[in-house]
Amino acid sequence: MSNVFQLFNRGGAFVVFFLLEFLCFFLLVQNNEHQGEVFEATRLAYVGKWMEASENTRDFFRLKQLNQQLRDQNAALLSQVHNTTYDQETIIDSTALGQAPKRFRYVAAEVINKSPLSGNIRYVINRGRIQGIQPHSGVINENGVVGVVTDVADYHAEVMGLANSNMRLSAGLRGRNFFGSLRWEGGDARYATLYNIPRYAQMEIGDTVETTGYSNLFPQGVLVGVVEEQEIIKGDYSWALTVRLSNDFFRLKNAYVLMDDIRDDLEQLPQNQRNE
Amino acid sequence: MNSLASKFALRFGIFWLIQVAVLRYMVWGWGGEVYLQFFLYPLFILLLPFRTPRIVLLLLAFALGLSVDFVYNSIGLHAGTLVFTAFLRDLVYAIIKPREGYSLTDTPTKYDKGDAWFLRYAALMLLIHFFFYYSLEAFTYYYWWTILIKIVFSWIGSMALLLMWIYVFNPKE
Repeated sequence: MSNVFQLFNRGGAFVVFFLLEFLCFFLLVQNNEHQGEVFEATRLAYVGKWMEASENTRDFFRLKQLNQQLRDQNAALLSQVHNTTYDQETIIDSTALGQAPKRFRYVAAEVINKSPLSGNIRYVINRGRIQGIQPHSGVINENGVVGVVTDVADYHAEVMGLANSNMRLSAGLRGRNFFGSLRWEGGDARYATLYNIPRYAQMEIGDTVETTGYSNLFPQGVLVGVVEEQEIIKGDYSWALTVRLSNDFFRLKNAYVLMDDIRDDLEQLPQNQRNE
Repeated sequence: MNSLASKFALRFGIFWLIQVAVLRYMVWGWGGEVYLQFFLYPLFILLLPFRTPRIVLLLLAFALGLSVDFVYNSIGLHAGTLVFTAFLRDLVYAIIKPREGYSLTDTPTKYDKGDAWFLRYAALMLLIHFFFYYSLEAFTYYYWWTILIKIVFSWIGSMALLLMWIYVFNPKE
């Protein structure tokens, strides 16, 4: 092999050959219409392919940033949906939605740490006091309720998940007007139990469980989970409903912290001071 | 040596003049395409002595090709082709090496190396030349069939002319 190369490169001839051919190629493309056109077309085709490939690569490395942008955008959109407003009008005009003052705003965040699955689940999100997060704020994402902010640092906040024995959430059955209190009884972190649904309540396995909006944590109608089992509590005329939580501990990545703009107002009422 | 250099300089001029003044008009083809061309100027590279430094060989090829290009109005085409042909000259020598090898004072002529050797030498070199020339001219192998026909026609025609030249003048160096 080296002999072949030596044969070609004797006395530096290969370098000279290469330079001369390069020069000829350049002259050819520059001065001749046909070759110039072919070269330009070929160049464009390959440059196009190359640019596409490099753009794909860049997109891949930009995914994190793009995700953040999407989360921010989602937060902005969520802030505009129906049940985040506070109806000031005494006569409710459903067409005047846009004029109602904002009640909930959303801050997009990313879950950056999770407690072990062993129970009493806690998350850490990458938004904190600087971004306006306050303790005792609801956290949701595209799948439904995530939890409640318990502690806030400057740039991070800790969120108590639904599968946490300290968690109490006011939740109801969608479309059925009954509500109760959601708690976690330990064990499987995928399930929580909804208490205080009266025994006479008409309900079925598979009913959707959502937030009631009675606490100042969440707007009304955020998904919590789906009823999987129902069980009578003896000596009490109520159901204990096993709810399969809609948020998957392992897949959880996005989080939107709810900022309640009229929280101070609600907290003046004794009922809400006790609450949670 | 000096007389040899001036001889080759003269040959350079003659081949150039014949190519641009005579052979340039001796073309034949159909449908707006030229299929037969006579190239004599590669003979200049063919006849340069064995001991010519390769860099000199390449530079001479470039110079001759470019001066042909100036008249043909195809800057870079003949130059690139002839540089390529000149570069592969050593490879051709290796392919058609006679059993006794080459000695330093040999010249690549019919006179010195014999009819058979020179025929193979010229045929290979011209084939390389036309292959590269028409590839570069089309600048794409999309019309490879046309390119192939052009190569065959021009190669046969130019071989005939080149051998005629050799048999008439039979240069010794």
